[in-house]
Amino acid sequence: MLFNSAIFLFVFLPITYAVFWSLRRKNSRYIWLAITGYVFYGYWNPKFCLLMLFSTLVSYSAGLGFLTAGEDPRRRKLLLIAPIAVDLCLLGFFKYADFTIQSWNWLTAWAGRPPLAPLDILLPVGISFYTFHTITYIVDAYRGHIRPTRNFWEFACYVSLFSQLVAGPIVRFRELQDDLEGIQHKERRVYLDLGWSFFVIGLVQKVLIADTIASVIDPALQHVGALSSASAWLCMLGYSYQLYFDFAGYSNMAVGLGYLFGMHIPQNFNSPYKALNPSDFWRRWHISLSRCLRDYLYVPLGGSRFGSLATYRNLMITMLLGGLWHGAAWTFVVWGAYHGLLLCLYRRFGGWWDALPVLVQRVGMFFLVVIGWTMFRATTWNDAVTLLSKMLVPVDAGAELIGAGVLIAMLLIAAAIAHSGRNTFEIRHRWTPALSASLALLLVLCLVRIIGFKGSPFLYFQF
Amino acid sequence: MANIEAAEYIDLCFTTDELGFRLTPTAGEPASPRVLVLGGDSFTYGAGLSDGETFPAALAKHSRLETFNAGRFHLDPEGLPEIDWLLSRLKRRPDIAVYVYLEHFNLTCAGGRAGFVGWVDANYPEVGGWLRYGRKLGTAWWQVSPLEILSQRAFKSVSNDRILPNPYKDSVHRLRLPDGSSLLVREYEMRNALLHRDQKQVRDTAACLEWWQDSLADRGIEAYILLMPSRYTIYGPLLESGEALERVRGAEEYILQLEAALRDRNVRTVNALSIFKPIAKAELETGQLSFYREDNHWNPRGVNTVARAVAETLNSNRELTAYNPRRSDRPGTGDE
Repeated sequence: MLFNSAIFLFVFLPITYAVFWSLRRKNSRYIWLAITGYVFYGYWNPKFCLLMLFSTLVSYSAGLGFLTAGEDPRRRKLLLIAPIAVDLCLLGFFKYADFTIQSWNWLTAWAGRPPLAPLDILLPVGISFYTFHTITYIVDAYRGHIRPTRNFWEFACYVSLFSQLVAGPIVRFRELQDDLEGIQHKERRVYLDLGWSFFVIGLVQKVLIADTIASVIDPALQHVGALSSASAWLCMLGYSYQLYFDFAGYSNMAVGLGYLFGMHIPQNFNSPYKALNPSDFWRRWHISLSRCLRDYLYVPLGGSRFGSLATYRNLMITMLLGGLWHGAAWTFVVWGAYHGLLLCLYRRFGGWWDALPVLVQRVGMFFLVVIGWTMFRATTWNDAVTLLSKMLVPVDAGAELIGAGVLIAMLLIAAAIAHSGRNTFEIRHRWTPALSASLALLLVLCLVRIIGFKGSPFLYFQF
Repeated sequence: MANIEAAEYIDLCFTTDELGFRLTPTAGEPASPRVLVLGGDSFTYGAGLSDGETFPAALAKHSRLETFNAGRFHLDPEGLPEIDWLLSRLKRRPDIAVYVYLEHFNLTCAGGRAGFVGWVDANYPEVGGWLRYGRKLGTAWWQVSPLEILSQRAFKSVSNDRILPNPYKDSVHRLRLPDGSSLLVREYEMRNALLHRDQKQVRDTAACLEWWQDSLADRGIEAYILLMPSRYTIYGPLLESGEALERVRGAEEYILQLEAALRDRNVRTVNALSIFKPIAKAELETGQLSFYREDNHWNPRGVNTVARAVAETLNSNRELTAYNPRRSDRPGTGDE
C-alpha cells in the first residue's frame, strides 16, 4: 500500500485515524496501531507479515531477557548477539542470497565452473528498515540507553508502525518511547494540524515534483546509449531532484502521519543539497540511516579515535556497508565506496576545501553528489559507465528528450526549493486562509495525478 | 492510448441492471434466459459495444434463445460460487452456457480454492458470492467517479509524446495494414506469441475447461467452450515477418492444440480462430476488420460473425430448442 494511493488516502488512513482517536486506553491504541501496521504491510504480501512478526518476537524476547539478565556479562552478550544474528540472517538471506550467487557465478565463470542456480527470492518490502529498528532496540537495550518494554503490544506497535515501516525514517525506540508511553494523552491532538501540513507537503513533493520528473527521465534512462550529453545531464539532474523529493516527500509524510497519531518522527532530511562538504552532506541526507551507521558501525569500529589510517578504514567500511544496505548490487557498493572516498578526501584535504567560497563549495558538493547518483540510478555497469561518459565527454548527437520543456521547468522549481528554500522543519506550518486554499488546490492536483497518471512507488521501497 | 494517429470514437448505449450485469435486449423475460454467457471479461461484457451489439445480444438474435450476459464473473473456480449465486436469482435455470475463453488467460483449476475461502465457497456459495460482490463494490466506486474520469483525460491529453512522454508507447506494437492505417496491439495480446506455451499448459488449460463443463453439467447446464484468439493471432500471420511471424504462428498452434485437446475430452468447443482465419486476408484488404484498430476488442462485425457460428452450433442440437419437460421452471436452486 502506498501513501500516494487511493486505497490508503480514502480507506486505510481515515479508518485508522478515526478508530485510533476513538480509543481511550493506551493498550487499545498500541493494539490498533500494531494491527493496522500488519494490514498495511500485508497488503503487499500477507506471507511476509509472518517474517516481521518473527523478527518482532525475537527482539521482544531478547528485550525481556535484558530485564532479567542483570549485570551478567555473558548472558547480556548472548542476548545481544543472538537476535542480531537472527535479524542479519533474515536480511542476508532475503536480500543478498541471490546477489551472492550471482557474484560467485561471475567469479567462478573465469575458472569454467558451472554456475549455481539463483534462488529467485522475493525481497520483502521494508525488511532493511524494520530489521534495523529491531537491531537498534537490542543494541540500545544492551548499552543501557533504553529500558526494554514488557508490553508486547507497545513493542509490536513500534516495529510495525505503518508510517515508517517500509521506507523509514529508521526510528530508534528511545526516540519514540516517550510518545508511546503517553500515547493516550489528549494533548496529542495539538499535533494534528502539524501532521496534516507535513503530510500534504510531503505528498506534493512526491506526486507533483518527483513523479513529474520521473515521467520524463524514466523513459529516457531506459535507453542510456541514445542520450546526448545535454540529455544525460538533464536526466541526472532530474534524478537527483527526483530522488530527493521522492524520499524527502515520503519522510515528510511519515512525519505527518506520526503527528496524526501523537508521535514525533525525527527529521530525515535537512536540505542536503545545501551541503558544503561530504561530512555536511551526510549530516543532512537520510539522517536516520547516517546516525545508525555512525552509532552502530563507525563508532564501534573505532571511529576517529585511532589515527588517520584507522579513520579512513572505518569510513570506507561504514560507507561500503551503507551502500550495500541500499541494494544487492555492485553499483550500490561502488556508490558507497565513492562517498567513503569523498569523506576520506575531505578528512585529509578539508582545510583547503573549506577555504573556498561558500557558493563554490555548495555547487561543487552538489556536482559530486550528482556524479555519485549515476551509479545509484544505473541498473548495470554498462549503463553507469555510459551515463558517466556522456556527462563528462561532450556528445551532441542523441535522441530527442521528450518532455524536456516540462523537465526544465520542474528542475527550476526543484532547484529553487532544494537549494534556497526552507525545508519542512524550518517553515512555521501556520497557514493563512490563502495559503491553506493553495495547499488544498495542490492536494487536489495530487489526487488528479495519483488517480489519472501512471503512478510510481517510492524509490526507497526497493531498499 | 495517447498520441494515436487516428482516433476511433464510438457512441454507444451501455446499460446494466441493479446488480451490474450488462443488459441484453431480449424479447423474453430477462430473468429467464435459456443461455448463460460466461467468461470473456470485457469481450463478453461488451467493451466498445452498445447493448444490442454485445456477443450475448448477437447470440440471442441469431439463435433466438434468450441470453444472459454474465461476463463480469471470474473464470477460475472462484467464479463458480458467483454463478451459483446468480442462478439462485434467476427465475429459470438456463439450459446452456457458453464459456468464452480468451487466448491469453492463464487458468488454474484445482477443484476450487483451499483454506477458509474454499470452505466458504463449498458450503456457503451465496456468502462467498456476496463477499466478492461487496469487495468489487467497495473498491470500484472511485474507478467511475468524475475525479477518475477527469484525471484519466488529463493524463491522456498531456502524455502525448510532446508535453510528456507516452508511458504506454513501448508496450504497444504497431502493425501496418495494407490501407496504411495501423493496428495497435498491446503486449498481453501477444502473450502467446512472446511466451511459448508448452504441452503441459495445453493439457492444464484443457483440464480446466473440462472441469468447467462438468461443474456446469452438475448444475443441469450444457456448456460450450468458445475459444477466442487475440487480434494478433488472427492478423499477425498476415502482417508479421521473420522471427515475429514464427512466434505468432506458435500462438496459432496453441489455440489449435487446445481445440484438439478439448475435443479429445469430449468438451463441446467452438474455435473462433477457425471462423476468423479464412476471412482475415479479405478483411485486411478491404479494411473491414472484425476488431477495432486501436483497441483489442471485437467490433459489431466480429461479434456477429462469431455469434452466428455459435448459434448454428447451438441450434444444431434440436433438443435444446424444443420444450424440455425435464427442465425445471422453478428458480435455479440446484434441485432438479
